[in-house]
Amino acid sequence: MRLLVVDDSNIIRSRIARIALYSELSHLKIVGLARNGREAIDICWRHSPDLVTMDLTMPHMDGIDCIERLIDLDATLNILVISALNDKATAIEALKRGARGFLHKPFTDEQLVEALLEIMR
Amino acid sequence: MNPVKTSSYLGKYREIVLAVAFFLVFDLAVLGLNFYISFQIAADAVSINLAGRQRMLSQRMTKALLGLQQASSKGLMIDAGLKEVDTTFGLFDATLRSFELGGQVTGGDGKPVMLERVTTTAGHELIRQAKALWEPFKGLLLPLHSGVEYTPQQLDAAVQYAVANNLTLLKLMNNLTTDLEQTAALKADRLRLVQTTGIVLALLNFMFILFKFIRRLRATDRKAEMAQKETTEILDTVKEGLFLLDAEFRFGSQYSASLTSILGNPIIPGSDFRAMLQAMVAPTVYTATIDYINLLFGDRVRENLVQELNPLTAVEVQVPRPHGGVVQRFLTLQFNRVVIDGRISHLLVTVFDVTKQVELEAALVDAKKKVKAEVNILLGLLDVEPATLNYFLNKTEQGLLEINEQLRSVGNTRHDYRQMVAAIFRQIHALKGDAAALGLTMFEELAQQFEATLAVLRDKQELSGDDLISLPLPLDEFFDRIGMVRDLISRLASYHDVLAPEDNPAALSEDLKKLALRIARDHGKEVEVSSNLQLIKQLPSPTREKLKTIAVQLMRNAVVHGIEPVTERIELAKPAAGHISVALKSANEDGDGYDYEFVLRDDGRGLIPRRIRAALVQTARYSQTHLDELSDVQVIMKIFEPGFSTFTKANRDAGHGVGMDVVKEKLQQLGAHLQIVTREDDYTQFSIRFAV
Repeated sequence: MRLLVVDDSNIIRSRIARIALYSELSHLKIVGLARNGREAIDICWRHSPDLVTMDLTMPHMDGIDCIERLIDLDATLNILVISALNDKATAIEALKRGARGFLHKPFTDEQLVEALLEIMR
Repeated sequence: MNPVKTSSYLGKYREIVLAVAFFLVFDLAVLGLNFYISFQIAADAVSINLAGRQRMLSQRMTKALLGLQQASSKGLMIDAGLKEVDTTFGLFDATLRSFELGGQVTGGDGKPVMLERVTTTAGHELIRQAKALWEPFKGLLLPLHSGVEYTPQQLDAAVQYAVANNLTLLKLMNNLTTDLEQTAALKADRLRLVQTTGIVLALLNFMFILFKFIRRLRATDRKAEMAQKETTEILDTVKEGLFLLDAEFRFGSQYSASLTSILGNPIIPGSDFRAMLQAMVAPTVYTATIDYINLLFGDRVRENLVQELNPLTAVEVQVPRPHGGVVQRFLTLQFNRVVIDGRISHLLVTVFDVTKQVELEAALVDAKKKVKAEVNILLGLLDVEPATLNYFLNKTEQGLLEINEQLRSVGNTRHDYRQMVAAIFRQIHALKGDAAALGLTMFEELAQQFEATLAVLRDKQELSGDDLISLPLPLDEFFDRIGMVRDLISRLASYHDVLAPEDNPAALSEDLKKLALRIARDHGKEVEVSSNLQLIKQLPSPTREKLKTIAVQLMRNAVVHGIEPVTERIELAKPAAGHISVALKSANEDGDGYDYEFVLRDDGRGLIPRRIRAALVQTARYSQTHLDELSDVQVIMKIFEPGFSTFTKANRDAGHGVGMDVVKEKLQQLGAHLQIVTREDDYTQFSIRFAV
C-alpha cells in the first residue's frame, strides 16, 4: 500500500510519516509528503498512491478541491481527512467529494493508526 | 451482521426436502412398476384371447373336416371347406408354436401380435400334451392343405382322428386358457398390492411431511412471537428513543415508547423524518444532517470514521410541549447502519436526551470561570493595603454580627420587621460602599445580592416573620467569604505583620479615586478626582470611620447622579471628564464649635428640585399637592429619606434609596452640620462640619 500525506504543516506531515513508519502500519510505503493540493495531485500522477491523509485548509488548493481532483484521477483512492476544522458541514462536504473518513486534530498516535486501518479494511 | 449461508438454509429444511425427494422417487418407482405390470397384463390378455381362440379353432377344424367329408360324399363343392381347414390349421399350428416358443401370430383382428411363450409349469405340460395330440393330427391334415391332392381315405383318417381327439384338444386348450387367466390374475393381484402399498407409503410420507412442516411452522411462529414480544419489551423499556430510518427518510413501523416524549412529536410509521427534523433544528444543521445520512446510506464512507461529524450531536432543539408551547432541549441522534445480506437496509437511530449533560457541562464551565474569577479577586486583595483590609474585615464582621443579633431579637410586629429590614439595608449599603472604595469586588457583589434580597422585602406590602427566613443565607455567605479571605491572609507571608488599622490619608484618597473611576466606567462616564485628606490622621478612629462611610456614599452619588455622561457634558460646553474634589479642612477659625469641615464638590448637573419632586411622586409617598407646598430646600432634603432614589431601576451603584439614608445616619452619629450648595447644570457641594 502506498501512502501520500497532504498537510501544510511540517510538524503534522512529519508526525504522520513517523507514525506510519514506526507502527503496525510499517507495511505502508510513503510515496510523498505534499504541502498543498497541487503538490498532492502531482505526486498522485507520478506514484499512484492507494491511501491519502488530507488536510482541508491549505494554500494554493484546499483539501475539498484536491479530494475531488484526486477522485477524478482514481475513484478507488482511500482518503482520510485529518483536520482541526470545527465546521462539520465543510467536513461533510469533503466526504461527499469522495473521502472515506474523518479524523479530528489533535489526534493521538493510536487514533491515527486505528483510522488508517479502518480506511484500509 | 453475518451473511445468511445457503448451506445453513438447506440444513434448516433438510428433513422436509429429503422427505419430498423421497416422495417423488417413490412415486416414480410405483409408476414404473405399474407400467411394467400393466404391460404384462396386456400381454397376458393377448395370450388368454389366443388360448381361447385355440379352443374355438380346434372345434372349427373338426367341424370343417366333417363338412368336407359330407360334401365329398355327395359330390358337392369342397373349396370352402378346404379353405376353412387350411385357415384353422394354419392359425392353430402357428399359435400353438408361439405358445411354446414365443413369437408373432395373427391376432383376432387379423393384425400381427406378439405372443409371449408360456412360462408356467402347468402351461408347459398342457402345451406338451397338446403338441403330442397335434403333431399326428397335423400329419393327417397336411394332404388336405390347399392346393394339395388328397384321397378320401386320407380325409376319413383325418376326420376320424379329429372326432376322436377334438374334445381332448379342446380340454387342453381350455386348461391352457385357465392357466393363463390364473397367471394374469396373479399379476393383477400383485399390481393391486403394489398400488395399495404405494398409496399407503405415499400417505405416510405425506403425513410425515405435513407433521414436520407444521411442527417447524409452529416452532418458527413461537420464535417469531417470542422475538416480537422481546422486541416490544425492549422498545417499551429502553430510555433512549429508537427507530429505523430507510433511505427515503421514512420512519420504520417500530419505535421505542420513549421516542415520542423525547421528540415531543407523535411518530407516524412511514412518515417523513425530514419534516420533523426541519421544524426542530436550524436550516444549516438540517442540511448537514441530510448530507450526513445520505453518506451513511452510501457505501463509500466508513461508519466508524464519520461519527464525530454527526451534526445532531448535543444539538439544541425546540420540542413541542404536550399542552402547547415549546421547551428547549439538547438531543443527540446517533445513526448506525443496519446491514442485511451485505446491503445497507436502514439506519438505526438512537435518540438521547442530553440536556442534563449539556447543562452540567455548562455549569462546570461556569464554575471554572467563577473559581478563576474568585482567584483573581483574591489575588486582587493583594492590591489592598493589609491594614486597611484587615480593618475592613473586622468592621464587616462586626456589622454582620450585629445584623445577626437583630434578626434573632426582632419583635413580632410588622412595624418591627420593616424597621429592621431598613436598618439592615443601611448597614449592608454602607458595607458595599466600603468594599467598593477598597476595590473589594467580591464583597461589593455579595452586598449587592444581599441588597436585592432586602429590596424585595422592603417593597412588600405585608411583611411577616417568614419573609425574614431568606436573610441568614446571604449572611452566611458573607461570613464564609470573610473566613476565606482571612485564611488567605494567614497563608500569605506578606500579611504576617498585619496590625491594627492605621491612618493613611493617601490610601483613602486612592480608594475614593478608584471607586469614582470604577463607577464612572460602569456608567459610561469620565471623571477626575482631586483630594486633600491629610487631616484625617488627626481624627479619632470612630469619627474617621463614620467620615469614610460618608465620603464613600457621597462620592458614589456624585458620580452616579451628579456627573453627566460625556455627550451631555459636551453639549453643555463642559469638559468631557467631570471633576470631583474632596477635602478635609480645619474649621476652628469660624468659632461655631465645629473642628473640621469635610467638603465634596462635583461639577455635574446639580440637585434639581423638579426631578426630585418627580421621583417622589413615583414613590407614591407624597401627593403632587403636598410636594407643591414644599420649598425647593425641603424637597432637596427628601433625598435623605430611606428608599428614595431618582433611579427607577436599581443597579450595583444606585437605585436602592439607601446611600443618603446611611449619610444621614452617620451625620446624626457625628452630630454634624450639613450644608448643601447646588446650581443646575453647574455643581453640587456637600459641606459637613463636625466636632471631635
